[in-house]
Amino acid sequence: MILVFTTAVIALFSSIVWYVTSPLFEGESTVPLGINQGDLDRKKQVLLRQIKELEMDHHIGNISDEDFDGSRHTLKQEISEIIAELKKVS
Amino acid sequence: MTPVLGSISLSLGLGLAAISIFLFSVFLQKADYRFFVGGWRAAVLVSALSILATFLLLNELLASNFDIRYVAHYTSLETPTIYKVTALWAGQSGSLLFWLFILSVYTLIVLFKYRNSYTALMPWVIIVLVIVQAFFLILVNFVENPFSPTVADFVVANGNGLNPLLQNLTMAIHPPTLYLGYVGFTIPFAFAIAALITKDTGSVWIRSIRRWTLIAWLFQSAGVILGGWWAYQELGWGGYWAWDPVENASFMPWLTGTAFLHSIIIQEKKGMLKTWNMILILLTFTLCIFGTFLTRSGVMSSVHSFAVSDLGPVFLGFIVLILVVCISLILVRLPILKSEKRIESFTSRESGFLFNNVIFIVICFAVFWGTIFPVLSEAVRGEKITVGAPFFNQVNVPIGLLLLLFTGIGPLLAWRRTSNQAFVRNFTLPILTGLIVFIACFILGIRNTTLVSFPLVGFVLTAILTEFQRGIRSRTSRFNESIFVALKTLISKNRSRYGGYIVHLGIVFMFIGFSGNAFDSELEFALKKGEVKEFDGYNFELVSIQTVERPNHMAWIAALNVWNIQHQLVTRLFPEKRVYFHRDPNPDKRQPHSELDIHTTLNKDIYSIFSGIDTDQQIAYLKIMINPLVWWVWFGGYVLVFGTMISLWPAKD
Repeated sequence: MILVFTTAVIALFSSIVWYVTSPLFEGESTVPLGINQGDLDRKKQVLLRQIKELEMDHHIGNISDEDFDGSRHTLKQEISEIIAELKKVS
Repeated sequence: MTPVLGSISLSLGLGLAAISIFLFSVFLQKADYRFFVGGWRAAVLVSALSILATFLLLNELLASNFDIRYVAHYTSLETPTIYKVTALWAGQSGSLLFWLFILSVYTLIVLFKYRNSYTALMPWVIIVLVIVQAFFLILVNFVENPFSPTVADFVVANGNGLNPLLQNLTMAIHPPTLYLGYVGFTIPFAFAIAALITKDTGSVWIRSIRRWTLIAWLFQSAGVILGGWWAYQELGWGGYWAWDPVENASFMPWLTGTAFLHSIIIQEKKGMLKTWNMILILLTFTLCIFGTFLTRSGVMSSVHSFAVSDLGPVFLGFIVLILVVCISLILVRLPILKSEKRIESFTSRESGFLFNNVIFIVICFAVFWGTIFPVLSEAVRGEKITVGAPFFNQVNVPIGLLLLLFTGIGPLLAWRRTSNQAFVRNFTLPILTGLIVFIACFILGIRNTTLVSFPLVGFVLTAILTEFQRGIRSRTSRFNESIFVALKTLISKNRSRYGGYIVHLGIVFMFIGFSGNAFDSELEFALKKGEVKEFDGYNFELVSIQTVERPNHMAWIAALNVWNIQHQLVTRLFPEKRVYFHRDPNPDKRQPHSELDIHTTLNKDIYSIFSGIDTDQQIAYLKIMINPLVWWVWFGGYVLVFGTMISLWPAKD
């Protein structure tokens, strides 16, 4: 029983060592491109949602016309920059 | 073999935590993605092994393996299966392992969900999470190992059993819920630290942790409310909140977490309060660790003192480390945490949010001070000065009412500044409602705090409903929708905002319940079978006293008929007097316990306690309390949870 248990523990330990160290000897050393794209997409989604909320605030009178125009312009500009970056990455 | 495997899992987990941190450090220096993958895999294993260890301990609890000290201490052969499961978090080492278990589950979700995103933040996020895991792994490996063997010269045939106060179904839900809240704040904390280190302190990290913060806040809120429910159902003093140190410990991170959830809206929309937000989330996490320290160290006398140990210095050391790291990071990053805009008007939504934040922090400070004062006074002057409920109520009731007022004012204010025209338009109806309620209360002869709280409730309810009405009107005019469709679309397309308003409704309902405290009444009396006692418009008749023996206790059950003044039967109550471990030959080990019975209606609770019995004379010693409006506290809790879930529900892109 003890022998089986010891063997099982050694097998577990070896599997752990292999699982953690194997990527160090194979695979890509640079960050995959898709990851950066994902970040930019996420930022774009956040900004689009902010524009939607801004429009909602404007419609129910929680923000003045002047503020609305200014904030929407800034957000749209940020989105344009991200789209430009996304184009560069892809 | 299982205990050995459990200990090995915990040791391996700690080793892998160190390896994970090392591999991520190499990745950050060399920018070699292979080290990221290695570190990520090690972090996955830390969590997996911690989860495995928890299930191994659970297995031993269910199997009643009394060779493990923890199992022998917190369960017995008579303990019902459900309470063998809850024994996992009943004691010191088990609850620390449970903390680690929940953190590991959260960490696994983060690891898999964000594996391919937040490239700059993720290494630091994982490092912080693994460091917190490592802290708890150190505790369960070296200070309080849940797999420690029972030390005895004989075979332990049966265990001590679980504290009767913990043998309650709410106790099966309350601690895990609260832990899910406490531990959940580790995720936004990790993102905050990562944002500070990587200088990415804009609105994107705030957006990424908003849902995590809401999840933690939801569980923290539900945990606090369930704690109140448990105290009300189980402790037998007729209340749900006693300002006990451990209750306060769960309330403080809730306060700062709530403040954070409000102030991040300002950062998202206006780029303001960046430093403040950092302070709030770091403070919230620190208070979560402080709460665990208070619960687990036994430094405070509390109804929650189920475990006393020498963990205190280790926890204090960790808290100091967190504070030093956080304060240093914030100081170093102050230049990039400057606000992009300034608050321009006193009557703006921004200032409304700021006031609300200040109130939350003032309440938190008052609670913190009252909680630690007895310990400080003992350390400095050698005498322990108790700070009781009167102090907390005196300080927090007026501030709480101010907070309620701002719950109503906030949504009525416009961003940047509110024009005079908008001010009159938005405030007229809520103020009128508040005034009408005030006059009605005054005419009815109410002269206590409810003379302020009820009008405020009227004001805030109207303010929130007005906000819904404005949203519906906007949709009906723009899209020609019916009122019902407009309301449904309004909420589903703006879940975050309108879910938040529903949460505010829940808070208002809870304040209605809190106000009922001013009208509480109680009476203690003795009754013989067939006798009747009149109290507060009711007649209480003792019908019988029955003796019942159950697997883990024996009970005397009093059957009480409750009649109103029109001689109509209102309800039958069955409060119990129990004795746990009644078969134990040592009388000192037998534990008496009063199991309450409560008749609940919308406007009042009839709360009955069977506090003692004279078995020879068949006399029952009873305590009856009439607690008005308590139902609204629990109803408000449901509404709060419902609103938070609406906010959390993912919106369609």
